[in-house]
Amino acid sequence: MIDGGTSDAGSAARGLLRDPFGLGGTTDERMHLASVVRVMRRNFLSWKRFYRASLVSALGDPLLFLFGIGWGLGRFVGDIDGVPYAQFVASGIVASSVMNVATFETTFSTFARMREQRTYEAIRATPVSLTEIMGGDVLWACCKCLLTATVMTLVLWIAGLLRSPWSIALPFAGFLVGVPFGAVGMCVTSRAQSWDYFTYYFTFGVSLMFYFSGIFFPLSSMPGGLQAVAWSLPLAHGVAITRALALGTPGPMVLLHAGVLALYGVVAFRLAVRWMHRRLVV
Amino acid sequence: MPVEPQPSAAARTAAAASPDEVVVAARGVTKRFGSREVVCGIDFDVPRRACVGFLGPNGAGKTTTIRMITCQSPLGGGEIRVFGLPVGPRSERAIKRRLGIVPQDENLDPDLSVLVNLLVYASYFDVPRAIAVRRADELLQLFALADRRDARIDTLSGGMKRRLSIARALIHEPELVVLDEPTTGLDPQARHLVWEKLRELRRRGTTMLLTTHYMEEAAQLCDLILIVDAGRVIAEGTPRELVRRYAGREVFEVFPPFDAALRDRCAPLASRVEQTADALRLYLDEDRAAEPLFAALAGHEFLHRAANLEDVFLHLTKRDLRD
Repeated sequence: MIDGGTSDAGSAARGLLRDPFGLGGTTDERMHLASVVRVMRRNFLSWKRFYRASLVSALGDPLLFLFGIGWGLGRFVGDIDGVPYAQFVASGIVASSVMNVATFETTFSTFARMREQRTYEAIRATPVSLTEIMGGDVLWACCKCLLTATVMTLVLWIAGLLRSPWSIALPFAGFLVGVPFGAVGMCVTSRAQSWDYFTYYFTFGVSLMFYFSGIFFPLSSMPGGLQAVAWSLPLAHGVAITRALALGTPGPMVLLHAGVLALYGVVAFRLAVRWMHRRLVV
Repeated sequence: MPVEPQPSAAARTAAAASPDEVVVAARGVTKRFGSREVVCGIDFDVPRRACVGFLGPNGAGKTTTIRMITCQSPLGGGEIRVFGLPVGPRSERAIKRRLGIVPQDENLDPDLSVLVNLLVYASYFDVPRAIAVRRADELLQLFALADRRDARIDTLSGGMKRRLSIARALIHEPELVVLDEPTTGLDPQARHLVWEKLRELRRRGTTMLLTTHYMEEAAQLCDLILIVDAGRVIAEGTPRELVRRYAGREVFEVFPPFDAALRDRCAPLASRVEQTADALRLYLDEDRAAEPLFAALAGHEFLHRAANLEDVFLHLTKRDLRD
């Protein structure tokens, strides 16, 4: 997703000024929300058949990780900024598990729909535009994030790891955190020639963010340069939001973080639309 | 879908003359991929209520042309009007709304049941759910899939999947149905069932555009055939016209052994002679009688049959062997 992107990024930024929500399709008309929702609904109907397996994998990993690290390691770490370690990690894991859900959806699942099942081709034969299909995929990824975050919130609440009534907003934060990752995943997919291609993004993008976005230790404990890198990536902002909600410290900064996530989402989606058109509309 | 009376041949010709009744009009259409020109200036009309077939070998540019007509691939050059609208980004949505597309390779939704495949597809066309359910049931009945209504896609045979693809393309009652090789890869029974269904659509007056490399398919289904080779239309007409014009009325196929003397004896009696390793073919036009040839060929093993599209096709494409 990085190669040769400078001019695209430039024109995407210019387009952003004209059309801040990225709703302008490249076909005859603007993006129709109704079409986007129909594609999302198609994804939901297809997911319904496998939802148990899907939920188990989306929740099992982060929860095992959380209880293993949070409670196991927590005993040696003690408190961070006056917060028990398990609570500290739990508040960040919500964001990272949502990142995983959105990323898997718009990389592997979208790639399968595009290449193996040729669902994209089937829908492109209808009045639904390619941009709307992509929008539907991202919206569906965000809905899955909402669902994942809801279930996680419940589990963490039962486990006593949430300490603020603001936690009730965690599911919506999950939806929002899904936006940039859904859109960035689309960018990767629009460039992917094979399944192997995703490995690069998972290692140098997803894993990197997982370890360096303040989930396991406060970003302030890292050297200044690394902190700047961390804040330039979306997950740090996601963690900042979920942590503020879970621990009960949301301030005006939360809006800034939300703004960064939305900006990431809009720019990445526009780039993905360009690249996907270049790839499929030939 | 309302059952409409079959238009007479005269009505079809009259319809073709009126500009409102031309569903697709293509002029000087070209397309290149890199330096390779795959469509090199194609002109044709699809009259309303007609079934027009692109007949040609693999790689002739049929699918590429179809994809440009259906707004799935940008127009390379020239002009295509579909329902009077020029294809292009501005009218893409308006055109697709009125088109039913059956792709060459099946792309049904494997995670959804037969019925839900139809309903979800209908939703992309804004068909209200109650109407979609009613039409889906009618179409499943028509395509002999009613008992598989709730089946998963991967439990269907190839022929069933193809019929479902056609049903899916009809769910929004399109004005033009475009079928890219509708029976390629099907076994003979499945193929005949698909043909039967397509003939039924034709009886109802559905306008169809199809591609095929099966002569028999073109002969069975099409009112008008365009023979396409290497990106150009090399001949055009009704199946009967094409056969009369390029192959004649009847053919004598003489099997080996035969010698040059026999050929020289028969040549003046035929309109055209063609010799290959496996046979000597003698073509007869309308104005030639068959009796003298029967006499000349006495004692040889031969087949006397009506000329067909295959003769036309092989004659026009010079019996090349291609991949």
